[in-house]
Amino acid sequence: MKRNRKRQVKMEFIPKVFVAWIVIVVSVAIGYWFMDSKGKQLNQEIRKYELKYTALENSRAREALRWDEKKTPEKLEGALLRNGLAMDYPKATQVVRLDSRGRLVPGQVSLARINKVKGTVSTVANTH
Amino acid sequence: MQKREEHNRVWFVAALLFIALCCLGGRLAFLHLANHSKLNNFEYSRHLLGMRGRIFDSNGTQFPMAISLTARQYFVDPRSINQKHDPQYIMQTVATALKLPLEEVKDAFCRTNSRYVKLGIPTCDDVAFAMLSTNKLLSGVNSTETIVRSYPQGRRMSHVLGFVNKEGVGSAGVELKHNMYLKGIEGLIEGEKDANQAELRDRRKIDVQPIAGSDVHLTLDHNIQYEVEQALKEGVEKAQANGGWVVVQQIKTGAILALASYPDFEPANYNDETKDVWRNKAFSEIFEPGSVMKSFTVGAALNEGLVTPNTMFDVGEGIFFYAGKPLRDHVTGRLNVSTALKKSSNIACAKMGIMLGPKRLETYFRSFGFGSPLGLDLPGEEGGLLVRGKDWDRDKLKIARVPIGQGVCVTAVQMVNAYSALANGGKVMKPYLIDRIVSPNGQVVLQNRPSVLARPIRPEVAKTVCEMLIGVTEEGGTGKKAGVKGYSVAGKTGTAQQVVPGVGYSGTDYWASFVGFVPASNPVFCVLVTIDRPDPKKPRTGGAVAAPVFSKIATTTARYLGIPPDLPDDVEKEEQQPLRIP
Repeated sequence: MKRNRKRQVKMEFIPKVFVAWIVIVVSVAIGYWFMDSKGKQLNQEIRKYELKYTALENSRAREALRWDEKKTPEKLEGALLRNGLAMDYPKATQVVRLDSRGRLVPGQVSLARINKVKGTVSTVANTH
Repeated sequence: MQKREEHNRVWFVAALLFIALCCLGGRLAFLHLANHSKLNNFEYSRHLLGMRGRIFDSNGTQFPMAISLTARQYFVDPRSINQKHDPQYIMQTVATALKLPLEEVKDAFCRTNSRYVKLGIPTCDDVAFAMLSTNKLLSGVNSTETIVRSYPQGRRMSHVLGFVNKEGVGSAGVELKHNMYLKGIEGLIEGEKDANQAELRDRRKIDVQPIAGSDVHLTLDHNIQYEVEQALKEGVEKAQANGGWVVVQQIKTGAILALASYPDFEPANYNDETKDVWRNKAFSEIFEPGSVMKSFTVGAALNEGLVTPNTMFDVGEGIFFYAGKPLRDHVTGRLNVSTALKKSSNIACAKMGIMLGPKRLETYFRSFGFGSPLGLDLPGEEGGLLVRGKDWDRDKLKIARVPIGQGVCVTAVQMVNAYSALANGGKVMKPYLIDRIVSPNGQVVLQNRPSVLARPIRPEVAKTVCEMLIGVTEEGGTGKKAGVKGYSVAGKTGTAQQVVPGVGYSGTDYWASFVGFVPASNPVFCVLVTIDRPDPKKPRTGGAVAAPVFSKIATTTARYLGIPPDLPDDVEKEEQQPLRIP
């Protein structure tokens, strides 16, 4: 009788339980490795954003400083003069003072009073 | 046979795996035991800079007076230049990027005995950083992160703010006094780095974030300060004087609204000026006040009931001998207490001092805050000089000189604070210029509130003295130039000779002062102007030199604070003018 070469010889060299354990361990290891690399990637991204945030924060502070330097009274005065303008604090007659109920404070000079005398309409209330 | 072959294959693979494992184990042991120092090099450590707190004026966080920024300090390590790189190209690129003279950069590269040669000052320039950090043809140039202190308003409030030294430690002014609040706390990051020297974020072991310093809020207003500094500079230049100082104080609270000393300096470049310029002379320089002291002598005499405003004094021909020495006066004849103050009579005030006696006079002056520091929130405050105890007996002349402001030394802050007390019904307030200190998390760590130090005179006496002081700025008074349109002004001029050590009083050097408050009917703020050594060839009295500066400052401050005018006549005149609405 001719020998059937295609017939599979069943070998019990490695126990199934052992193979199953190996598969589980390897799966966990691969899973761990995948998670670890993902974590590392995220950490690097966080670090990159941290650096970017610091750089942006520094940049913002520098811009704020430039803006603050432009707001100084002498710079504003200079800018106004360059444009042929001049600013001054309001005169007493240009200030309307009201009490908490909205009535004119007694004894105070008010634009409203002047306008009433002149028969004109109040337009501006400039207060500090 | 076949089964045996398969067994052999399995064992072969297993042996290979075992050998590979042994190799890995061997390598691990080698790295840990034989080459341990190399592994240590992968340790990463970074100190995070703690930002210094900011300083703001009284307008909140809108106008920072001092802030900190991160910057880079570039340095050269001449020994680490790559042989393949062109030194000329490196020097040229560095000079262009950092905007430094080429010679300076060349000089830095020539110093081969050092591995750290600083290039200029720390810079915040992003473009320079990009140019120098990305260029692969550069070597030998590195940078470290550092913090620089910036003062957006330049010289404004320089004497109040002070400055920080190159190590970032406060060395003058508020920066020094409140350094413990302002300084930040460094942070630390420790972990591991990769072969490219970049931190491995997941290997971070220590992560302590830095804590910024607390913010200091001043009571000073930068707008008032600007006007004060401008007026003082003009006044000093016009009088061709050596310098001057101005203090503006809120009467009811004691808060300082402006404090200026001229000449000033730029806090960011403090080394450009001498140490003498750094001193805030408004409270660290004592001066003989002269006639401005007479108000307190009159106040004390009135409070003791020794005189009334109408009590008459005979000053004769303007010369009064006491303890064998003559005291001269520009006023002659008979005059009452009000006129004595208005015309600043030396003899009448000296006589009032004699009537009071040394003990009472000293007690009153000390109660007004003279002779000891007031506890201002700034370093270097002087207490002044006031004769005490037995010294009065040693020099009998003192009792005729101290009442008129001679033989006594005060600071500008003491003087303005004492005048504020006259305007405040006799209540001496504690002067302060720090409103609050706020930590980065918003917690208020220090809050100054108005506090009364003493009440040397009764309110009605204080009112009487104030009424007398109005006369000083009226027709016939010594301080007519201190007038403010629309507002009544009460004040006093003072002109005192300076002392030349070992010689006596100088014939040419004077302190010219004017101190007053506005509006006199309901005082809101008090201003003291002192001009140091005005040109002797020009008028040099307080009324001629300091009063116009006072007028300018008081006019702007009253309008800026929105104080209602109290002189109806002037207001009516103003009302007659056509009203132009911007």
